[in-house]
Amino acid sequence: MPKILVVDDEEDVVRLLEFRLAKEGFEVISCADGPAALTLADQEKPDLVILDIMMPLMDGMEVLRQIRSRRATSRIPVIMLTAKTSSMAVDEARQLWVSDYIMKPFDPEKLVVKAKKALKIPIDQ
Amino acid sequence: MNDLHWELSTLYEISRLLSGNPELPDLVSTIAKAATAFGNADASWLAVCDETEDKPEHVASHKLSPESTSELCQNFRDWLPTSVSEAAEPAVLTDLGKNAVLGRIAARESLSAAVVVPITYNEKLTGVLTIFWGPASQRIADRIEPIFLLANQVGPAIANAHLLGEAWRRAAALHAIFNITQMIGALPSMKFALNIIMDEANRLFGTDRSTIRLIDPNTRELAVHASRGFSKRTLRRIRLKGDQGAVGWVAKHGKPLILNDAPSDPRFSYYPKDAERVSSLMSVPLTVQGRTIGVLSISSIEPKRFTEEDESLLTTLAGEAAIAIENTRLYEQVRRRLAEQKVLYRLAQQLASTVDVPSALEFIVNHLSRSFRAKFGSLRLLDEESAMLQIGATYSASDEYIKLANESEQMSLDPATPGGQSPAAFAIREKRICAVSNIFKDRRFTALRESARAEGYTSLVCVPLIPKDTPIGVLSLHFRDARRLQPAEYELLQTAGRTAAIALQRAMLDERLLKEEVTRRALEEVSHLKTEFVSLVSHDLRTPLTAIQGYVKLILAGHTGELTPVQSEFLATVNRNTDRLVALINDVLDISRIEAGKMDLVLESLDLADVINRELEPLKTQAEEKEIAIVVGIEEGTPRVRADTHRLGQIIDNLVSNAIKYSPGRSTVKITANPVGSNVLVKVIDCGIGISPEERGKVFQRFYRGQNDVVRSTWGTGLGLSIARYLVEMHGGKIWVESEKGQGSTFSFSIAAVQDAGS
Repeated sequence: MPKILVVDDEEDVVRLLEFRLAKEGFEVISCADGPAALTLADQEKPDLVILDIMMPLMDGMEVLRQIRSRRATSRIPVIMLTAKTSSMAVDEARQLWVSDYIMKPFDPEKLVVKAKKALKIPIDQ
Repeated sequence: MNDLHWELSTLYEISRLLSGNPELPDLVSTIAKAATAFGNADASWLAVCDETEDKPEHVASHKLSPESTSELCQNFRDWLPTSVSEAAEPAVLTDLGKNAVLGRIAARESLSAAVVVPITYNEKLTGVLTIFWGPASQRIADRIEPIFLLANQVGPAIANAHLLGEAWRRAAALHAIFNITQMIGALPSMKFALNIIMDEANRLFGTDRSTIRLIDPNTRELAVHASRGFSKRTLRRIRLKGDQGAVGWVAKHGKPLILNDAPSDPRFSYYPKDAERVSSLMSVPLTVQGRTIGVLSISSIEPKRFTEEDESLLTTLAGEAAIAIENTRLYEQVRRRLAEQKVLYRLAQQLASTVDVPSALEFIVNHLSRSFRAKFGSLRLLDEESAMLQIGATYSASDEYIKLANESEQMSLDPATPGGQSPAAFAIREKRICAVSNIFKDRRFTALRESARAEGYTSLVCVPLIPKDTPIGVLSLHFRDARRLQPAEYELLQTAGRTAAIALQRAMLDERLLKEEVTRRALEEVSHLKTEFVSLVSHDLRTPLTAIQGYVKLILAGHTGELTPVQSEFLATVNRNTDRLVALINDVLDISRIEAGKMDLVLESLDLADVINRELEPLKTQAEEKEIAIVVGIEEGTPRVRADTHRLGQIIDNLVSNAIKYSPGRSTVKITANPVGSNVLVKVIDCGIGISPEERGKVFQRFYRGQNDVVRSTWGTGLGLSIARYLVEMHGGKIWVESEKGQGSTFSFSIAAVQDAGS
């Protein structure tokens, strides 16, 4: 079963994602900040990271940069969760190779579609 | 032989004496002394005289009492034998008792005979030598011949001494002139120079008083410029027009005038009868380059006999005085020019370093009021819009004056108002200085007399402040006395006014720029706050919404178990309203971001079909609900476009969702795209209610919503089209609408095509 790491400082959002993704049968691990996310990514080697941008301690963009800069994690697909609608942020994220991004607030169903797409799992199964 | 020897030696002595060039008084007494010895006489008396005069000029006696000497002198014409006075023949008087005067002297001095010898030079009688003998004397006739010899020598000696005296006087005059010339070279003031000249004149001629009057070029009056020995009261009373009085005659004719008996001359009539007494006067014109500029006069209380030589000497002094006056005038001119330059320099320098308008106004009015010694001054600024003068700054002006100046009818430039008839208004209208030398005599500004009396001014001058062509204000200077502007002052005021005007305009411009800068900074600050607000709102509003929306959708999708139809319906309502709230937040944030200039575009080459299909995906449900068919028609060969994918999607989404919203059920919404020049034209065509012509211009305005029931019953923020317009324009394109009421609408926008055909 693919393992998905969810990173968001909002507990409600993390719970929502955990619930919905578990429903799809994914193994979900989560944390609330950037440094923890990097540790988990190293230890657990998730198949997908769903990463919020606006977080205390370390923002999502920095976490993404570090994931990409480490050999062990550099190829893990990442979906960015963002409250920002700035095209600049989106563009920067794209240059750091994100699989997709989804704007908050989001429809959980759409997120599932995007996650499956990133994990190359056929949709409508 | 003895006698002869004695005579010769005496003659030699006399010649030696006479050739020693003594001064006349010394000579006379020497001769008198010698004559006594020469005639072996008991006394002698010598007078130097002019045949026209009643009294001798110089008298000397030897062995005569002062009383007798004086008596002989006083009654000269009474005792002088006619043979002497008329024929210049010597007279031998053996009986002195025959003449009353000589008889008295003979008795007093114990004398009995006398010889009166005329002294001549060039056949003119120049003196009389009288030698007296006592009763004991013998051989008087023997002594006559040697006395004649002596007298013959005395004539030329006296003439020489006379000439010498003249030479001395001339030398003294030259010395005086030299002194004057020397001093004038270093003189700081004309008055001082003239005083020296007059003192020298009084000293040389032994006169008591002198005046230098100059012709006033404006009034033609002979104003006393300098005087010596007059009381102020007298001076004030002798006011002369250019042709009045003796002085006026000299000024008018440019010729010297000697009045040895002044009171008897009709030309002297202007001199006040009861003023200080004048017996003799001499006046000469002051001439500069052939032009009479004034008169130098000297006068004395004692009668004087001024001669032609005196006249030419005074004329020489007058020449010096004229030069002094002219030099001083030139010097004053240079000094004034320097002072003017100083005024202007100070003005320019101070104004160059003054930034704010109030300080500039204050300085201009203070500096120019002081420089021109005004009683008070004001600077009024012209308000362009209202065409009114408003007090900008004042110098020593009374509160009443300021209050009056601030009355609206005084501020106005309209000629129908009192203000419009003021000198200030004239100065502004005519764009030149308006000078009133005496407000109480001026017929143009009679309305100002009352205020002038109250404020204590007599004259005023209004200088328009014109930086280039348009007056920006007017400077008014008020003077206590009636003051007539000199041409140089006029010029100075003009230049100062211009300098001030330019500086003032610059200060005003600076102030405006400063204000603009402050505004700009404030706007920047607002913009910054706005941006902060935007990012705060975008995070803090979205976060709770994310949870609400996420869980609602989760439940609605049935992941938490079966829902009853009512639960389903109500949750759908929550969901719909959450969507609306999210849409509203997104639109407001977009508008804020655009207005704050924080909307960044990431331009890339895009396939329009991809973007359109991506955006249509979420709208399908909406369209299906109303059974609206969405038709996409992209013309073959339509190039890729250069745009921000997210924002181009937003434009299309806004237009298409609007089209769906306002189209009736079972209709068609068409989306077309085709190349037009270097752009691609995208059209969204609906069959909706259409837009009236008057509404067409407004639909792109913020928060504008159509004024009809369909629009009102449909939810919307009123921001969609305005965001679409901003986004299209940010891409360098245009957006517009074509519509007829009831005929549907066509929204079109252009977007730049990717120029490289290969990509």
